[in-house]
Amino acid sequence: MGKILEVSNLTIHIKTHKGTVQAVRDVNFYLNEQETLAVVGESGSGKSITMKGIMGILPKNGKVTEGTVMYNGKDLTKYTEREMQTIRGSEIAMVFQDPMTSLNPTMRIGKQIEEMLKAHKMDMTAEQRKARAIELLSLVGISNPEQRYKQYPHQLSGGMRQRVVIAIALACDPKVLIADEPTTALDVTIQAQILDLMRDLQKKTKTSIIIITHNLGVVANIADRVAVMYGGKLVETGDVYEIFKNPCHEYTKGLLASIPKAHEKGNRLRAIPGTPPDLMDPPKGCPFAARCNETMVVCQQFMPEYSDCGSDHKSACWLLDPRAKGGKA
Amino acid sequence: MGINKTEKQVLLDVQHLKKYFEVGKNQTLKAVDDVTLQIYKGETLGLVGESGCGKSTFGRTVIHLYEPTSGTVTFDGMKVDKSMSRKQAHELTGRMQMIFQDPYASLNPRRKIMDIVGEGLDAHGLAKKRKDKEEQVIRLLETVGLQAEHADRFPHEFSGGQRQRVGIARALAVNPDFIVCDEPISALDVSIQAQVVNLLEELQEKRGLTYLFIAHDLSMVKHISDRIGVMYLGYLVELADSEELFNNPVHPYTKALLSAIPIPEPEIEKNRKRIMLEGTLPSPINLGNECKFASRCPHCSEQCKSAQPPLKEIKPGHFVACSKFC
Repeated sequence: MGKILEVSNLTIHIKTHKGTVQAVRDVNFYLNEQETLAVVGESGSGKSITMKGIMGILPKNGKVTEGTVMYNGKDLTKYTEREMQTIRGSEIAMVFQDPMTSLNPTMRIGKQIEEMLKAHKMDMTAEQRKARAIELLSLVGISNPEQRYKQYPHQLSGGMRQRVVIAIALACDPKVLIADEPTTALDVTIQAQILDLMRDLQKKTKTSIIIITHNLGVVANIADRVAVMYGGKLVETGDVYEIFKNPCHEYTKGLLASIPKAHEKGNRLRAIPGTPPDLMDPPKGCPFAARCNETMVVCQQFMPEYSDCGSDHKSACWLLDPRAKGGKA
Repeated sequence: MGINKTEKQVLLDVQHLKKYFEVGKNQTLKAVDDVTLQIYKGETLGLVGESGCGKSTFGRTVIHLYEPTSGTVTFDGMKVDKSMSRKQAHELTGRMQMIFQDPYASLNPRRKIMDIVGEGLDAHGLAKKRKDKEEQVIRLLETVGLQAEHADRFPHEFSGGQRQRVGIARALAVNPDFIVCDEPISALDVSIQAQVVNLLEELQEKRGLTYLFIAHDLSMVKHISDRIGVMYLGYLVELADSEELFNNPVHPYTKALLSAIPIPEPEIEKNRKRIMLEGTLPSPINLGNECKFASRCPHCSEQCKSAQPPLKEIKPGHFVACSKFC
């Protein structure tokens, strides 16, 4: 399996009236063909902005200041808006968090799917588009697709709407699907259905998926590899089994310890004290230093390099440096 | 956590509580339909279910934010309904409090934390002088892990987790016995959720509080609750000790709900067989007499379509409303 998408040294700044937010700082990761990469992190850790940077849909005040996004051997950050439009939707598609707001309430869902086809598949006739829209609706598990085709978003439940959003994203057979918290707004029973659907569709369409989530259960369910973000930095990346069994970064360890395990009972949760750093004025060293139990003097001063913790498992933590030797300064 | 079973004392007794809303002509939404349960002193009762199942409405009706359509709520021997005198109602608000879901919407953005937390103290005459009030508010803020200087700030200066702490401090101000926690952690990040849950547990131990904990995150509910009730379309379908409910779920809906929670361990999660529920929650408007779960139940029979089965005790402390399995 080759790498279909590779992000190197990606840095994104967002200018606000209060100052510049360094939302994404020097992020590196890649996506293999037909795999699912889960990006985990709390709100404000830069996971959504990273994806928007890849798609070229940053807010007007945001800018990729450094780094490359290699897709099929080409750097997407160098693309003009017009060139990006040929990629967006047809090559890389996105599913957003809230299906209530990502659909147009005044437009029939069939037309919303066809809109995508109109933009990217110019040679399709109206009949072909309609047939494809109905085919897509049944692909994402919507019953009576011919009737649903004519309905408006308000006539569908939340889970159904998310299915429609996924159908729109898949309309042009994209190679990469980026799903930004696709199940956060849904109930657990519906979440299970959508995750099932995504896994199923991946087998059928051979799409590579990046899923953003903060639910570690969802990660365990769907991901092949995991990237953990904190304070605008990527702090750990690796195979899903590795990350859960042998987390190397203190933040990942804290995150895994802070969730109650459904099938075992502990007395007190191990919470991570404190709050995430302010990215307007990010810490010089490791972003997690202020909340870390194992923090050393060096952590506050210098950002650690990535160390190998296993095959294809990297983490940026000073404790992994050979010079640390497990001793606190 | 937990209390000795021999000394259980009922703090809140809910009998056949119904709360209907009129939605348009001849249309009734039965948000809470015939729920009977008791909450014991010092325990945490978790209430779970999908959105729209009536769990929040239940919580709000219990503390008399809504007037029940029928049924009774008795709090420590006192009837909670509109027949209460003004004095009784006032006393009640000093003993029952609520923590709301969204810490961004539940704090007045134009008031300082001092006034938000101190409002209850003023209303109940718990602070005679201004200085006394300030001291009490600061003590409350310290109890929930905030600092004295925070009293002089506005809500927008706080993060979500800190705001939820302010919400907790406000609920604690009047020294209540019973707190309804309506999804207090669902708006927070994972690492912050654990902080807030730990705080709630600590306060319960120190002050002997009783909680009604409403949530849809089942793993967190299991962690904090002594007993758990499962609601579906306004009806309580199963109620049991939290260990019992997770280990031996009986109602098909509870089983499906539990099997839908993703377990944060890839070895287990990737090889698990799920009980998948077909379809989505039916509309709660103008439901018929059949078992509410009949339309999605894999075990539905003729009997299920004729009447809603009542809640039955199948084991000591384990109640199930299903005609097939009890």
